[in-house]
Amino acid sequence: MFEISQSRRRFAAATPALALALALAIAGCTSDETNPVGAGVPGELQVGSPETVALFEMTDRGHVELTGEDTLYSENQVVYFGGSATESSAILARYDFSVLRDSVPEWMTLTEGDILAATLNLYRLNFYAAEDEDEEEEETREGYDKNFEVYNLAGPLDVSLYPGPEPAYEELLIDQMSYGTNIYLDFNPATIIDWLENGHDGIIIREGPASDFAGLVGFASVDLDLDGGGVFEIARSDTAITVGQAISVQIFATRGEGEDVQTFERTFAIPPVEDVSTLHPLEAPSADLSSDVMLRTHRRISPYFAFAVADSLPDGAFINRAVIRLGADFERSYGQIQSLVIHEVPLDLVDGAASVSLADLEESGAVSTGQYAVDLDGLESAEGEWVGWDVTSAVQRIINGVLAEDTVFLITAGEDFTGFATTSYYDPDFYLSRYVFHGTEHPLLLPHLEVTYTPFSGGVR
Amino acid sequence: MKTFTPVPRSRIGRELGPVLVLAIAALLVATAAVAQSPFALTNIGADVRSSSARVDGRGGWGLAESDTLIPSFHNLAGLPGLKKMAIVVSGYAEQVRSKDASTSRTTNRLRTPTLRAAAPFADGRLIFSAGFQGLRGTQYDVQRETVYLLPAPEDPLGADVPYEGHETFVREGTQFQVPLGLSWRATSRLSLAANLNLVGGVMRERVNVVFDEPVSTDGTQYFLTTAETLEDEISGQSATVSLLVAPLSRLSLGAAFTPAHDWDVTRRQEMQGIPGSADSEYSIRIPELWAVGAALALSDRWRLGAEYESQPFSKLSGRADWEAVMCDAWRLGIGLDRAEAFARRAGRRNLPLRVGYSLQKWPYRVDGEDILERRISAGTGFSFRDRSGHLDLALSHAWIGELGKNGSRDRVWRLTVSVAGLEKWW
Repeated sequence: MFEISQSRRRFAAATPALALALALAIAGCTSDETNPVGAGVPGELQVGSPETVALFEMTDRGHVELTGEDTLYSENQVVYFGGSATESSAILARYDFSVLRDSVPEWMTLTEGDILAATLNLYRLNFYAAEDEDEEEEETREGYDKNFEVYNLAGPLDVSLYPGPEPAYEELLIDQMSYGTNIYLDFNPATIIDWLENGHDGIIIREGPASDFAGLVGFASVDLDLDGGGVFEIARSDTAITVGQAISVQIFATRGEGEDVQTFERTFAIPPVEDVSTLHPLEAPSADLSSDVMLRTHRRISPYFAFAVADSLPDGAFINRAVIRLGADFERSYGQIQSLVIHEVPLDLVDGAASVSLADLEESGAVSTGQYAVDLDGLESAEGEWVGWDVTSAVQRIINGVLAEDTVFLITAGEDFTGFATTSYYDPDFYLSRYVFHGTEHPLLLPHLEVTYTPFSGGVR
Repeated sequence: MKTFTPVPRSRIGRELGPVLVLAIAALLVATAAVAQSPFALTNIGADVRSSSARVDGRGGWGLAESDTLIPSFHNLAGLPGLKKMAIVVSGYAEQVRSKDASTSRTTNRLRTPTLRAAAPFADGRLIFSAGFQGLRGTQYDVQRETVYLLPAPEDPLGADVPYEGHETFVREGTQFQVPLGLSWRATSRLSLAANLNLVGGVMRERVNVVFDEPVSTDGTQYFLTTAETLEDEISGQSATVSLLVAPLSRLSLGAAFTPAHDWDVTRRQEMQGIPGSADSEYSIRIPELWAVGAALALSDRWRLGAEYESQPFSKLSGRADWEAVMCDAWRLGIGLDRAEAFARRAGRRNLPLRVGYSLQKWPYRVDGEDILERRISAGTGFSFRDRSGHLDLALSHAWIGELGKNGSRDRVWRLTVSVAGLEKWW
């Protein structure tokens, strides 16, 4: 009989373990990264090359008003002054001077001689300001002045009439050239006394003919929310506690003689009770996007459109990139930085509708994509012309037949429900901004859908 | 003849169990590895057959062999005489160094081409066998740099701008068969076998086109990656007949023949991001395969064997794109095998020893030239304590293709490990 020896037993156990360890070690070895070795051996599957097409033909298009804002027009945090190519705006403000009468001593009868200075302060919003770091230089630069004219209104101010034509006004109170982040317009003290004695219906601050350049400029309204961050929207060189078109009245009065002399010295800052900008006329956009594609906030107007995607791309194409591009019309645009959001909405929601509520848009539409805080001013200074939105997913769904055929794209600002709202002081409720893009009749910068796609190499599915 | 002391049944399990578990674990993890010859990126793929480490170690011959201690499924006609149920698992680890004119790449992989079982009936004269056998396979990926002409985001209506990208191509898949066989010892010198092979498998190609430029401000690629897959699902049947004859006491001869048969292929092509697929069906006519082999006993322990196999793939039909480059494939193997001995205190002299050489011509041309594979091999192994099984190892080195002719070439190191277990099942 044969007994296996102890040494053979160890050998018998070690050898398989060694062999398997070796196999596992080789299995665990890391192969080199993929590289071109083998590229010369032709595989069967050959993917098509990407192609790019620009679709200009729109199947449906138009503008629609959006309603449902929470803030009145007169409660806008910005008021506009000046004139653009198509629109002008004057600032209307009304004051309550009773506080002035109530705040001086009883022995004092306020006269023209007691008022050392009466200054109307305007705080330009940073968005419209020249470069802050060059503020001093801007202040003294020639050729950048605006012509401010201030008149008494002929009748009581009714802010509910605006936006609308300028109201009737009477005598000219101020005619002054000025530019800078803070504007100081000087009243004749007699004007203040006149308002105290004869009443005050309001003033109009309008652009005179001597301005060096055209354009709407936004100033802080009395409703600018200092606590909500609006303080960051203005640059101010004074220490006044009010914003808006406050009138600072500096009083210095003495009465009596000898030991009975009484002196009163104080500066009052009187904010307007209400203010509003006229924005007259509010330009209506072209109905068929032929001359413009306009987005307006506060008094909201949104453009909508659809491109002939299904007829222009092959079935089964994979969309590598699809971008809606609009060429910015800097001459006709003004306003705050806004997020610009693309929605997918059913055509019957907007087609032929006088207006659509924000609630209906939220319920019936879907946010497709958006751009945060588009700064047309920055775009212009960077010599950019195009604003684009990545709608790759939406176009792929059109190709795949899963997006309803009657879906159109609609552009809004960063409304709260879109997910593209930035900060409260860009809220489209508060600021009337206008983003104008070139329409379909522009010779070069036509709105279009740019699609880069790869055709399916497998033929019919 | 000397015999080992019988070992209790439970002890057998303890000795064999861990080895089998480890072997199976090693072979199962193999599937994740992506590597192979780049020549397998096209056509019907590489030949991945490997009966066992014993056959691999001696140059690939085994048709003319019958061994009941180390059962070989290379020729089912060699199975009669088996007294116990046999299970064989065989796989290999491979390192491939591929080189083309400009660069090279080293890849590693594991493959499990063989899992076979046989059960004896009628005192071993009749054997039923079944299992799994890998036939051909592909597993390789390649990447190449490309340039695309696309519009610049800042000037979308302007002239296209060249952007860099890269294209990744992956081809992977295995064709296998499940052979169900009957082997019968007709006379003491003649055994016959027939098996029905259920053929299956899949071949998948995937292309990813990645646009490295331009890059968006958030760091992502501006253009989405394009990806397509092409998958061929294969099914079919074939039959193999074989015989083993020993005309002389020292000489045995074996032969096998598989007639031409069809593979039915269901094709599905899909593109990422779009629903549905392009589906079609076609058939491939696989030419007949025949092989002959001989083994000559030089002494009590040494045997010389040789084998030749031929499959005229130039007759393949059903794939017009392949047919133009098909050629007749053949394989010639020759080797020496020193059988294991059990002499007391003989130490390593008892170990089996195998050496061999094989020359194989692939069934298709690359770059218009035939692909030749030359391989040298050596191997050994040992029995489990009570001869209840055998573990074999083979190490081989192969030269595949020529840089000047085929555009690239491979240098391959392969370690084959197979485990054969024998157990009474009744």
